[in-house]
Amino acid sequence: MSALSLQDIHASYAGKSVLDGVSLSEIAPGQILALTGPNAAGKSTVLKAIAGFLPVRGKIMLGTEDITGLKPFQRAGKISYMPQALPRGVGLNVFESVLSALRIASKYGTAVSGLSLERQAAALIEKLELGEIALSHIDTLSGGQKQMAALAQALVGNPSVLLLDEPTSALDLRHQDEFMRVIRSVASSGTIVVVILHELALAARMSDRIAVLSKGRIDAEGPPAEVLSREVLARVWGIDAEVTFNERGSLMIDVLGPSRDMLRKEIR
Amino acid sequence: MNGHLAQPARMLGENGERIVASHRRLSVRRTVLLICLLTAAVVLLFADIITGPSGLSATDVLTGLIDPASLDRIEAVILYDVRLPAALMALLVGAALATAGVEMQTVLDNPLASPFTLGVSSAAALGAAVAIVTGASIPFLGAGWFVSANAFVFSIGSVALLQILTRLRDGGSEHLILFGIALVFSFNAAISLLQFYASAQSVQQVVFWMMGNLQRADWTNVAVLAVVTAVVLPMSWMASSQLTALHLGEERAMSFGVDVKRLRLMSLIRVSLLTATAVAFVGTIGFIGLVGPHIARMIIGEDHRFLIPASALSGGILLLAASIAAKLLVPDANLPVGIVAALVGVPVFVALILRQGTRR
Repeated sequence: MSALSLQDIHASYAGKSVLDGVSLSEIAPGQILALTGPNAAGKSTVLKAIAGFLPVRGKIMLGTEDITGLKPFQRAGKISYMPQALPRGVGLNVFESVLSALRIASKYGTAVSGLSLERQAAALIEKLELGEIALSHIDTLSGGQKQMAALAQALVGNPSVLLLDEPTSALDLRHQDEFMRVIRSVASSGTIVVVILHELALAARMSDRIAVLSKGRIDAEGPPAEVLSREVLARVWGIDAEVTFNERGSLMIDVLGPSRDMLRKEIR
Repeated sequence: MNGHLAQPARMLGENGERIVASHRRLSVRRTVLLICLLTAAVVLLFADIITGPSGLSATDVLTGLIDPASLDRIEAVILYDVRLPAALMALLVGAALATAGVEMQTVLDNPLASPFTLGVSSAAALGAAVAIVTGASIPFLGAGWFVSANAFVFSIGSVALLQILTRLRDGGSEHLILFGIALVFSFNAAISLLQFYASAQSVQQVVFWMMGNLQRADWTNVAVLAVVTAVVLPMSWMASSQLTALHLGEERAMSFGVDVKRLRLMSLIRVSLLTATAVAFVGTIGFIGLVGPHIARMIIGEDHRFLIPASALSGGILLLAASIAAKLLVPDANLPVGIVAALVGVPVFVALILRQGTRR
C-alpha cells in the first residue's frame, strides 16, 4: 500500500492559470482527505490532475512511483475518478454497467483473479449491498441510488485511490450521510479517498484531513478541528462565522454575515 | 457493513447468485433475439430476390440458386446479374450504414448522430458530382467506377480533414460535431455551385446519384463492400466493451482504462470506411444509419456486444424491406430505395417508440 502526494502542481485551462503550486503531503492508505474551498478555487482541477485528465507541471507520486506523466487509462486500476454528474445508464442496469467497467478494468490485471467477471461484478454489488437495485436500469433510480451505482462502477479493479467530485451535492441529508458512511468503509479497506465536499460539517465529520483550496493554492491543511477556524472562513470564503465543535465533536458554523474584508470591499 | 469490503469475495451470497443467473438469462435472451434478427434478414433477402417485375417464382429462384443450369439464359441473367447482387447490396449497405451509425452515436454521445452527421456522405456526393460534371474517367476503369472511386476518395479525405481540424482543438466530441457540420455545409454549397454551372443532363445525373439506388449493384462492387464489411464489422465488435464503457460517460470510461482519444479515432476510421464504401456504390441512403441503431437498441439494449450485430442486422433488414416495398409499391418504376427507406422506416420507427412509451 502506497501513499499519494502532490508536489507543486501547476495547471492552466484555456491559457488561464487554475492551479498555482498545489502541494499535498502524503495521504496514507485508508485516509479520507476532504478537499474544500469556494467556487472556482480549482478543486475539480486538482482531482482531474490526479486522474490524469489534464497536463500539469509538478509531481504526483503514488508510493515511490511518479505517475505525473501517465495517461488516464494508464492510471486505471490505481486511480479511479467519479465525476460530479450523476451517472446516466441510458439502457444499462446497475449490474451491466459494473460489468462493462470491469471488462475494461480486468485488462489491467487488478481485478480479483479466479472468478468470472460476472461473479466479480456480483460480489462487488453484494459488498455494497446493492442487490435490490442491481437489475434496475440506472435511469429509473433515485439520486442516492444512482450515486451508489456510480460508486460501484468506480470501485471495479480495486483502485488504490478513489477520487470523488462532489458526490453528495445532489443528495439529501440522509443519503449524504449514508453515502459517506459507505466511503468510510471503502477507505477502511485501505483505499485512499480524496473527496470534494462543500458541506463543511459533513467534511469535518467524515474526513481525516481537510485541505482548503483558495485561488489555486492550498490555504490550510490538516485535521478538521485545526483547519476549520473563524480566520480561515473569513479569509477563504469571505464570511464572518462562529466556528465551534460541540461535545460530540460535530462542527457547528453560525454564519454572521460577510467578513470585514468583504464588507470593506463592498463599501469601496 | 464496515470492514468486510476488504475481503475479496470468493463465495457469492444468495443475492449475488440471483443476479448472475438473471444476467445470464438476459444474455441468452439477447442471443435468441440476434438469431431471430438473422433469420429475418435471410428471409427478407430471399423475399427481395423473388420480388420484381419479371415473374420468377419462389420455386424458380430456389431451384435456380441450387442448380443454375435449371434456368434459361434470361432467367439466369435476371437472377444472377440483377436480383442477387442488388439484394446482397441492400443487406450489406444496410449493415454497413447501421453499424457506422451506432458507432457514431456512441463516440459522439449523441442519439441524433448518423454516419452522415460529419459530412462523409456530402463529401461522397461532391466527389460523385465532380466526376459526373467533369465527365472524367480513370483509364481502364470506365466512367461508372470513376464516380464511385471519386466519391470514396472525397469521403475519406473529408474524415482526414476533420481529424486535422479537431486535433487543432482538444479532440472532443463537441468540436468534432461542429467542424463536421461546417464541412457538410461547405460540401453542399460546393455541390450547388457545380450544379449551377453544369449542364442540365449532368445536374439530373447528380440528383439521381444522390437519391441512392441499389440498381447500380454488380458483383464487383458487392464483393468490394462485402470484403470491407467483413473486415470492419468484427473490428467494431472487438471495440464493443470500450464503446459500452464510453456510453457511461467519457471521464468514467477514461477512469475505467479506455484510451478515449484512440477509441474515437479508430471508430471514425471504421465509420468512414464503411460509409464511404457503401455510399460510393449506391449513393446517399440516409435514415438507415440513424434509425437502424435505434431499432436495435429498443430490441436488444445498450450492451454493444449485442447492439453492434443487432444494428448491422436491423440496417440490413430495413434496407431489404425498403427494396421490396419499392418494387411492390410502384412496379416497373425502379423507385430509388433511398426514398422508400425513409417512407418505410419512419412508420416502423414511430411504432417502436410508441410501443416503448406504453411499456414503461
